[in-house]
Amino acid sequence: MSHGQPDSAMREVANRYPGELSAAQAWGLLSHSLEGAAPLAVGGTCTVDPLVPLLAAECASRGLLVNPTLLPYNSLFQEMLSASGELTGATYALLLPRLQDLVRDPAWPAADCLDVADRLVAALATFSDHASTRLWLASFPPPSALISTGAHGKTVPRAWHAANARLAEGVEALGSVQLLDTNAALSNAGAGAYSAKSWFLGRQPYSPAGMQAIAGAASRAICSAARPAKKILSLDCDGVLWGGVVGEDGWQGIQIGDTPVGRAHAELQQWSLGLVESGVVLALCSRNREEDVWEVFDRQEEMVLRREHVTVAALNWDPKSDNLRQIAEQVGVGVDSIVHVDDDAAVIAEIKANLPDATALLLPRDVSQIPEFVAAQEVFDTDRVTGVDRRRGELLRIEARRSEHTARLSPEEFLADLKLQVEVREVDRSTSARVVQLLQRTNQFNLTTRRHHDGAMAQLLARPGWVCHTFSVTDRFGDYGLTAVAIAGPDDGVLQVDSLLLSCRVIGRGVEQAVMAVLVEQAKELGLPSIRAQFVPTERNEPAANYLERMNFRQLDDVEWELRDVDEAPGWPSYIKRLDRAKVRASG
Amino acid sequence: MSDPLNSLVAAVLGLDVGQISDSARPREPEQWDSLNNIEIVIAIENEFGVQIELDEAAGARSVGEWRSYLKDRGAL
Repeated sequence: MSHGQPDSAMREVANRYPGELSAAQAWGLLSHSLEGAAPLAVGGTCTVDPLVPLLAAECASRGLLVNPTLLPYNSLFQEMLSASGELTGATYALLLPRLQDLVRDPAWPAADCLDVADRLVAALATFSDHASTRLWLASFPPPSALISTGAHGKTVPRAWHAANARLAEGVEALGSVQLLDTNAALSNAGAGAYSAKSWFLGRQPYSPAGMQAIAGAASRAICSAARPAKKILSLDCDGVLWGGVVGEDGWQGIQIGDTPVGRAHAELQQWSLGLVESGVVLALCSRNREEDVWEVFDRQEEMVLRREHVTVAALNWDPKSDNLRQIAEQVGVGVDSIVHVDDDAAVIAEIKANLPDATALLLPRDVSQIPEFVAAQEVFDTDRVTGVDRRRGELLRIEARRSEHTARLSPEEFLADLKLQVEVREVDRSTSARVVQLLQRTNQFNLTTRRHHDGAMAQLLARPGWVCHTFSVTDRFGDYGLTAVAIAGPDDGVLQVDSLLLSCRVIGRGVEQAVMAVLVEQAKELGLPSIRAQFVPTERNEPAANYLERMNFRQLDDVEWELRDVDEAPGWPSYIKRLDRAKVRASG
Repeated sequence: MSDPLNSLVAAVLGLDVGQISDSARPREPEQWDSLNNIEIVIAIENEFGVQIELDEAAGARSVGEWRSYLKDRGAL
């Protein structure tokens, strides 16, 4: 909101309504600063005037500034069919038709009721063709006791249900219109939602409590459509996902499932599962040992949520604001998309202080209040669940798993996961061209950058004990072919390395260590105790710079390095499978 | 602690409690229209636990008159 004035009025309403300020008083504050407010048209077939201050206050307390205006009394059809009415100019609209006002026959013949529904849908269809107003149609409220218990007590309720079903069907086909469940809203206010007295006094069927219930439900729907949906539900474990403390009680001892406390927590899990299925990403953010938590997921059969529903987990003792920030990063959304539920008020305070854009919710101490708690959570309300939403959750889950892999695996685990295989051979006719090519081209991981041609190499290998080893590498992602070469042989009582190179495609996977292990074998076969090698720096062979040091060589001078005892070199990496072919000597 | 009847009327009319005196009545102030009058009647019933008969509810009582009405019934 760019205007300072509305902001302060909104803040005051958000803080003081409904406790200290009545709807009328809140509306009094807001009505002085309606610049930038979204026009909200309100109309009914009966008196709905008290909805104006209520809608303004309820929306403001949810962070949305609306300017509600009343449509003329009982003029819904005219307004919908007019191309230039107040309704057309509104951003949002709430229409409240009643069968009581639209069906003349007190017996509520089914055909008449369905006809009213059809005409409403047709008018809405016309309206949505020429207007971009987002419209909520309140479903028909129930018939009063007077007619539903009298002579027509059997047919009237049935006709009411049928008309609402017809309304729902028709509205579903219209993209810009949503149905608001009037009966559900009024039920929340109980029997006191209706007032015969105010009906007789002013054609106003609902009590202030009933009006408040309708305004609350409508505002909730309007505001959820107006704000971006939350994308991540983050849950604490002990006291939220389940009762008890898993670190002390063990996975068998926690309360989930068929105990009084367990049933309450199962309800919370059920709610969470519903959100996951509608596309919300589930995260765990809890001060627990990881093993404890996963043991519950893996072994506790009463769990409603399964491990596969969890996309990201931060199970540690770091401040939760830090963890939530990382979770958002991992999922690739802003922290304002996160809702965290915790049973620890101090944690909620920490998150609110350090990550104010995130939403932090304190679970009621009395877990029997969980059903009310989840029903009151508006932050995940969305207009409808689409296939794309469902898929989005899935895609985000896959994406997070992917980034999780690089973030959480140790380098060794990562390498083991690669399923590397290296085939070691001596150069032969079929591979010599490739070896020469590598000698010519390899710049980065190349100890000496000696650009031997065919002839020079043949000469080198003609000397007794000199071998050119080739290494062909594959892993789970593909076959890299012949990508490493080592040329070495006896000289002056040690194994002298003439050339050692790796294609950049296989650097950093342990192949370089495998190469050294083969050289060590060669030295041992020849009865040589040490290996000498050179590192000749070039502009581009930085990646090979610390290789000899890592292989436990010691520097003798500017270029010369020595592995005095071949047994000091690290052996063949355990995570690389070695494939050897029968040795074929390259002939000169 | 402000007077509960004055607070009730102020809340319905969207005014500060200081703006409500015993002489306030329908149309004075202007916010006290027929619809707000219904709300005031219903709110008095709920707040003070009285049942106001329809013909009484339809009348145009001032705050002072409602005060006497409630006192007569021992509700205030």
